[in-house]
Amino acid sequence: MKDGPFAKDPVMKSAPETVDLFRSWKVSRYRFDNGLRVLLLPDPSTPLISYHTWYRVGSRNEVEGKTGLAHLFEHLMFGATSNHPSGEFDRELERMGAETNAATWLDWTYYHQTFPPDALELVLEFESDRMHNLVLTDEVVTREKSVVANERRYRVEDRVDGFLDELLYKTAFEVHTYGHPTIGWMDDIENFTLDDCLDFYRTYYSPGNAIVVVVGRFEADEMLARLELRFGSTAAQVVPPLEIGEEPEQKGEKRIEVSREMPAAKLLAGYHVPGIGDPMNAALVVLNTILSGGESGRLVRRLVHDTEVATDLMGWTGVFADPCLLEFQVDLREGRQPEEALRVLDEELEKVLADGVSEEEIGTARNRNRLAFYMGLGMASGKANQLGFFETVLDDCGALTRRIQEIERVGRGEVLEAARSIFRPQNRTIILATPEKS
Amino acid sequence: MIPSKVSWGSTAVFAERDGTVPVVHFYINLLCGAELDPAGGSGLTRLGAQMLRMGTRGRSREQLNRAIEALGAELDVGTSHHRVTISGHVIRDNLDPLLDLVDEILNDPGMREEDFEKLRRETLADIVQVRDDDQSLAYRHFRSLLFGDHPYGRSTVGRHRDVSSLGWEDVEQVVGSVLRRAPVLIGLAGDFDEDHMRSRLQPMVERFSERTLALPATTEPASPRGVRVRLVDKPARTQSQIYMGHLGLRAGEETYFSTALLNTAFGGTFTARLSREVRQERGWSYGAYSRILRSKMRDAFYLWTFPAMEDMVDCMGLELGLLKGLRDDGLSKEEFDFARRYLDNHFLFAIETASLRVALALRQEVLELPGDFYARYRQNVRGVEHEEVQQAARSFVDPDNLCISALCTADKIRPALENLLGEDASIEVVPYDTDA
Repeated sequence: MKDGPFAKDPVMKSAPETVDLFRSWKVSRYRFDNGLRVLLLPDPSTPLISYHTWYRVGSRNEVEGKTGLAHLFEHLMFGATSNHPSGEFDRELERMGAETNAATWLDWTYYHQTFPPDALELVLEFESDRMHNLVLTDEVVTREKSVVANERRYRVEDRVDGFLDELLYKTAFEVHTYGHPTIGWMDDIENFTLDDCLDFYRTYYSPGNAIVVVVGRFEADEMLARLELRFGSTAAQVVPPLEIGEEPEQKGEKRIEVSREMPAAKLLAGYHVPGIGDPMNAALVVLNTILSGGESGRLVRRLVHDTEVATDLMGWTGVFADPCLLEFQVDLREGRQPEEALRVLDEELEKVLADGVSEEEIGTARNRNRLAFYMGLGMASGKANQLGFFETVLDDCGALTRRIQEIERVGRGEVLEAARSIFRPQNRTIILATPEKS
Repeated sequence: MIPSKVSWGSTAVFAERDGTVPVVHFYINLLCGAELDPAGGSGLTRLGAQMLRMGTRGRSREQLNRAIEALGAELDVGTSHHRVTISGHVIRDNLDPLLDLVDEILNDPGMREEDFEKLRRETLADIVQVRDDDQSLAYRHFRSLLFGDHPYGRSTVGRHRDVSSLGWEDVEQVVGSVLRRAPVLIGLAGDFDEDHMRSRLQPMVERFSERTLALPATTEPASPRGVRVRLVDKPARTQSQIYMGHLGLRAGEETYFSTALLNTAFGGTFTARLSREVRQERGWSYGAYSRILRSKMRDAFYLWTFPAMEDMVDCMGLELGLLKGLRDDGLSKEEFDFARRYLDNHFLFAIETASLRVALALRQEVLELPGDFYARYRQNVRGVEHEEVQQAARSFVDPDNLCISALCTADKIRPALENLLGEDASIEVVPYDTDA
């Protein structure tokens, strides 16, 4: 440890752990007495520091009638504290050249700042301050509800893709809170009260529910000492256990037909799959890459290039803690019907189920995922993001590296097994969306 | 910091080695772009460029895609108004076979008419899909209104009617006489050995020496006079998308840094004046930003907001007032100091990685900026004085001559808008599926 104003021993219960990330990169992981987890990855290749605070709360924690509270709270966290007036946080960090933002999804909410090293003290001051000292008033909540309502119009009400994705999840999940939209239903957004927000803050915003990740140009010992000074003395707080109903196995295909103002039809298909921590996840990633990846994916070739039914095909395997969906979205060409795309989709999935996939396809998927892994490690913010994500969702930032290793080990047998376990009509939800007739 | 230009034969190269991760990034810039599209032929340069991804003489499109992706590579062809960029990333161990494919794409393209017909159908379908994206539609109409018939007023993808009318001969001609003759700039970043790369690219670079196309001088766009409004009418909107502005500046303009500071303080960041007034104070729009786009010729300066339909006219009124205030009073000293420090520090983001630094060097070259433009960027930002920014506000900001494009449900707001803008403003309403 360096001498200086922060040269004091941090107070910790657990011994620091070292997690091998990639090549010589090693992440130091600490847990403070109050439960705060800290991940540090010094990286002299960047002139910046990226500082992330992940809270283990997302829309999964919400109940009917209060959807969107985690996301609204993400907005409120940029307001006044007992030590700093509203707007000072963003203004002072921008003055230092920082980029600052936040995001909320099903399992988490995170706040991130990337900045030149001389802004570090400011970031530590603001982040530690708003974890405990946020000041909420009716006026603040009312104004931010208006901004969020506008965000919902932007992302959902006037955007067909957002509307359909929301419909897919609402239909596919009848019990689990993954069926709630993270941004919240409009009625819920409009009806939040100050008390709702205060309760939420007191329940979820504490060191024991947070993970701090720092990547970039700094000395690890000095950073640890600074963090201990800011967060080490805060009392521990218990987050109540979360009770979420388990989604029962789907017993039959769900199919919704809907019309909207749009130029061409769309098809969405969602298949229930295990969560990201399940051993099958790596095979699902490979399977999805073979079907939807790049320009050579099977579904892209058939739907976009060969049959010319669609302009675009996107496939995505959910990255959530609990069982989620493997989704396909097909944007059709003008005049084509979603049933045509569904027919092609079914034919291609049948081929996989009957014949499996080739070694060549496995190799391509392996290389594509390896490239994506490397690309994610390019910038400080990318590294911090991935470390925070895996530590939050799987309790282990080392899963970032393990996951790519698992993907590289997947063979034809595992892909076929994964396909057979999920590509069953009774396991899927279909949305057929057509243009409104004027 | 910013890689210097070196010459491999007659080809300019910007390269920086960085072994942080085993990936190589490459950019091959053909110095020609959609500015060359003829009137009534928008989208032609892009179609020609995309033909390079439709297969080579020895490989179909399908075979080419499989070959590229099997290597763990991504390879895109992009077209802007002033360059066509073939760019990509590849796992280091597969660099050599990918370079062979790039050579094949550039020097032995398939150029099959049936592939062109397929590409054209795909492009037309993509143009239709844009109607689904309110923000893109509003922006496209804004540029069309602002630049009129100038190339900057046309999307590089092209208008539906133009792309429909283009023939195989047009595309053959643009590939043969423009894309295959345009001078080349190369950018390389990542985990590569420079000597190996140079010898590996030698045959390709030698062929580049035959590329001597001289581009015609680009004309300056004309500045529209008065306040002109286009309402892009789409049914059942709960929210509007508003673009409001006038001509921007050339990249090499003397006032580059003073206007950059002006815009940063006005609408360039989350806490800038525009966002503070529209979002923080009134909660009207989730985002509120302004941008000065800089290109070889004067590009656009615009404000972008997306208020709910019921707030749309009030929001436009507020924006007009803010623009007048900016012209008349410029920035406060606090805003000026803020913007100068922000721009100075924030430049680190533009140079965080080798690939970003190489991309900056290429931009500097394509836009014909001084060779040390980005090397001296922070120094130049620090050297700007408050009075220079005040002067820039008075001479650049022009609220009396504005183009405004607003995607909305038009009949709901037209009377209120006429009331706001007065009789002198021209307001036109076009259906959202108009071919802009």
